[in-house]
Amino acid sequence: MTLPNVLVIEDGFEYINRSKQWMSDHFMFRRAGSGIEALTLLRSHNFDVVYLDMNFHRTPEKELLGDLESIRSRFGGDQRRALEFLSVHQGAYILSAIRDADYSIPVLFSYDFESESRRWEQLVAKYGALDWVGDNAGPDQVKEALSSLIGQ
Amino acid sequence: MLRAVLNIILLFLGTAIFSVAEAQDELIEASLSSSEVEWYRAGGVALDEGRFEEAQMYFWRVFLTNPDHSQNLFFLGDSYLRGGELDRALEWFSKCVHLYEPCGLSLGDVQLQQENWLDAVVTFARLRTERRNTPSPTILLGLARAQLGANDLQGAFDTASRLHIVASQSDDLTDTFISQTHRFYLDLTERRLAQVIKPDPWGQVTASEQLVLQESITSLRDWSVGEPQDEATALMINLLLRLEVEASARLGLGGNAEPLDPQERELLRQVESLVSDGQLGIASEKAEVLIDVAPRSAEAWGAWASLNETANNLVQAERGYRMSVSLEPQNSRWALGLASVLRNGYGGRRDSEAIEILSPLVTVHSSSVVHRDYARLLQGLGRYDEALSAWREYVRHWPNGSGVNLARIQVTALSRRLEQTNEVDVEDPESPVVEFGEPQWSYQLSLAYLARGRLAEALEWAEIAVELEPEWVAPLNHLAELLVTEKPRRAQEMLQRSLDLVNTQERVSLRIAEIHKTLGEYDLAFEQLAVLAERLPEHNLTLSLLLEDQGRRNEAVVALELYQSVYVGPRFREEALAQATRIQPFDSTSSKAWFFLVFASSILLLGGVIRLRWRRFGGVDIEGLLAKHPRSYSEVAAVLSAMRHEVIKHNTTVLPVVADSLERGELGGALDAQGWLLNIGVNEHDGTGVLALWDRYVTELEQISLRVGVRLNIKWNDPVLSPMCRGFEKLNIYAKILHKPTKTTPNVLRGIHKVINVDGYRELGNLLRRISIFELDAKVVRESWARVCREPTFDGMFSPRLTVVAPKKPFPVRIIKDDLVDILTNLLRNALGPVGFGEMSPVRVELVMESDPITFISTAAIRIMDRREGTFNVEMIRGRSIERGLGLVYDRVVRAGGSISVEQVSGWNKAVVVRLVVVESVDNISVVPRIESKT
Repeated sequence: MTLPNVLVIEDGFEYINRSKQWMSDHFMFRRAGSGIEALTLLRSHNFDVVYLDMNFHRTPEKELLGDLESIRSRFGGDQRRALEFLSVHQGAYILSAIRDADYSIPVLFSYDFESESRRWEQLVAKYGALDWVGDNAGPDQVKEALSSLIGQ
Repeated sequence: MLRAVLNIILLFLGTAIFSVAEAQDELIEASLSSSEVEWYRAGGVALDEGRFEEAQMYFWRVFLTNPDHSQNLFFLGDSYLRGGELDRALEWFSKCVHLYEPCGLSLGDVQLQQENWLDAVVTFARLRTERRNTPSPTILLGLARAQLGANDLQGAFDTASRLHIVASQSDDLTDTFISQTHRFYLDLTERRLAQVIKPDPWGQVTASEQLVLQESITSLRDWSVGEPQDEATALMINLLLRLEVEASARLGLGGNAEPLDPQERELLRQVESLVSDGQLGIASEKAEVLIDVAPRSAEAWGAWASLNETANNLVQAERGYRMSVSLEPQNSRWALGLASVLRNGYGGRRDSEAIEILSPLVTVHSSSVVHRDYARLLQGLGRYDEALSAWREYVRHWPNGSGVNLARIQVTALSRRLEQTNEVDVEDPESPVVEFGEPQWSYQLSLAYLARGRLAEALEWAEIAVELEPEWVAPLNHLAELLVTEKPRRAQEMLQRSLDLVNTQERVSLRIAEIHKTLGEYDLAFEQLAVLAERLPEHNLTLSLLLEDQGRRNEAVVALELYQSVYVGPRFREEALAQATRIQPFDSTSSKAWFFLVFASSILLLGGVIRLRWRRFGGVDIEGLLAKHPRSYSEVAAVLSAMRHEVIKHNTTVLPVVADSLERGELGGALDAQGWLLNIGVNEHDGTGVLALWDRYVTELEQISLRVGVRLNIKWNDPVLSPMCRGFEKLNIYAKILHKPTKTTPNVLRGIHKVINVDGYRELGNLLRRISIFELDAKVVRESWARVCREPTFDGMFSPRLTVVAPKKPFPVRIIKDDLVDILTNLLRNALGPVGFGEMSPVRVELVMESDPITFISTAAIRIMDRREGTFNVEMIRGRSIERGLGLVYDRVVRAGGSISVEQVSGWNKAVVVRLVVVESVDNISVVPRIESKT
């Protein structure tokens, strides 16, 4: 039986390492280190679900997705703070880019939306097929959430 | 004749041994005509064969010709009775009640069946009177049952006592009759107890309770003797045991090997009476006599101890109680007395000994009083976490205990002190009284059986108690003790369950270690003691002794040194000295060295105590720090956020799956975890293991607080972080042995997971959400405006106008009020300026919620618009245009994670827009990653 393919998008290697260590019996994992790399992989491979980090502060500036100019304007022209904003919320920008590229693949956010129900509702309304796990989720919870999104 | 009467009585009891027809043979000839005899016999046959209507017809014919024939009347009534027509039966039995005893018995029986108690009392009382002073057991049983039904409990008890005497003199009682009698005794005893005894079996004893209790015990002891040992008898014995247990607790009735005889008991009563009258001298003389005649009576020694305690002769009081304890170790009364003497007589110096006395009782012979005193002692010694556990146990398992309200108060107070979540419902002291339930009884019964040497029953009841209340540690510990010889593994399992429920049980930890030792599992015993010593450092000595015993001298020395350096209390001092003499070389001939050692130890000890107390109880928690220095918020929040993201995420979150894999016998996950926990063989954290990373963040928080002159006490005095610190300390211990896990390791890891990943993570998030939130509304804008207008530059010179547009509902934003006021004040001052001669620019402030169209992050925009003449742009703000009083604005905004810009607005010269984060997420707090690691 072919295992479901999961595209892990993160700026480091923690997700991919832990996932392969604890969930390789259930899924096949492949990693993208940035939004651009993720879009490239999505074009060339079939994935069943995306497992997406939110904070990409280790990703090079040039690879960050998002309208830097407008964010810089919001920060009164402060380039450094605009970049910080983009990297800290990069997961949302990557999600937006995936949907803009017409991929309706379900996405599991690794981010604690527990106290942001209004924001979460808006994200789901705009981007659809989403779920999230908090920072304290262990492999079992992640496995369950991924399976649920795939519809297993 | 007699045979027939007996047969009829037995019929009443439902166990006829002769047929009705046979019984009549001897009766009929004397008083019936030949035709009547025929009808009478035919009626008897029909009755025997169950043709009741036919029987009634024959007996009716006899009645028509011989209406006073009592036997015929009886059988007529009986034929209706057997046919189920009780009212008609009653009618016929009533006609012969004065003539024939079986009629009376049957009448009474029907009345009992109909629960017509008062009429039944009259019927049986009349039968007894007719029998003069020799009533049959059947009559007495009927009367007693009727009295019980009529709620005349004392009358029923008196009749039952008479019944017992009469029945014991009778040789021809059937087993059925005896069973019925025993069932009645059981009902009677339970009804009397229910009426008199209060639900709290451990409370104060009234005279009436004492009387009923003692009467019931005496009666049940008498009644339950003999054959048959059927269900009713077994139930009665069961009840007797329960009462004896209760009496042991309430009245101090020993029930052990050598109880007092009646004369000795009378002497005891005199002693107690004299003590209560204050005649201690005479009481003492009599008590000495009592001890002489009953030297193996725990009660006698207890009386001796009690009077000496009253006379403040503590040495003799202690001696007396110690004798009682040795004679009757299962009776908590003596241990409580001894603990009381040690506690009250020595100004706290012997409190630790008192705890040692009560500790075994709490572990396996628990009762509310023991628990209460134990908790008090622990609390008095500052062992708050253990005291809290003990009080919680009290509230949970003795909800009717006389001190439960006090216990609830203590739980609340200690929870606050320890800043722990209160697991017990302490908000409702008026909660309904709960009956002393089956788990408690089962447990107490098991103890009672054990005290009587009946191990099988003790085991059975202990198993039941554990099954009924699996989360009560006392039965678990008790069951473990019962199992330990035959089934040490199961005993260990019970103890581990108990320890998982209440992890402060020192004796249970020690017992587990002992069992490991007995089974030759020395490494596991060492591990158990090492974990215990983390919490109670005095057990480094216990560990040292065991290590030395196993020939591991060097490690024993290390453990002893740990005891000497970490532990500052009085426990095991003599043993430690002896151990030191054995394993630490020292020139004992040098008196100077001894003097120096003692002196240095004293100084170190004193310093240690002060340092420990300072460390543990001084300082503030995170919220205390922010209350004293709010502007530390952003730094503190950043570290807290990093704790969540960089320590927990991907790291401690895998502990449950590591535990699962260990249980499957797979070591890979554990070794990997060991690697990243301790930074062995991995390089994910730039040379920093997760445990060290946690310590680093704790240190960082402490440094932030020290910079602003506040002492933060995260490790001991912070409701959120202290438990997590404990969790990480425990993880530190277990991380080092993950490569050689024990059977308990998986559960320990799961426990740590709960503390750190579940409770800690949640509380940390709550803390981040709680701190430094301000409700932004028009009011703060107007306050800042008023402040500007009062400034000398503007005061009285102009009449500036302010318009504020804001929604009714304020926006919760992440900023401290002082910073916001600084920002507003400076920007409003900047907005004020001349627009013509003698005129000031009007100012308009709009508060608007905005949402990012990609991330949907909400911000509160404060738009400050004016028509002041001149140029102003954001570079001037970022360039800290001091002359305009804007020096702090940019810093304040950035510190709050917000932004500031200058925008063009139609109809106004400019709008300065400050955007602040609307509080929804803890993750928006730290926009600057704290440590170059991950996420």
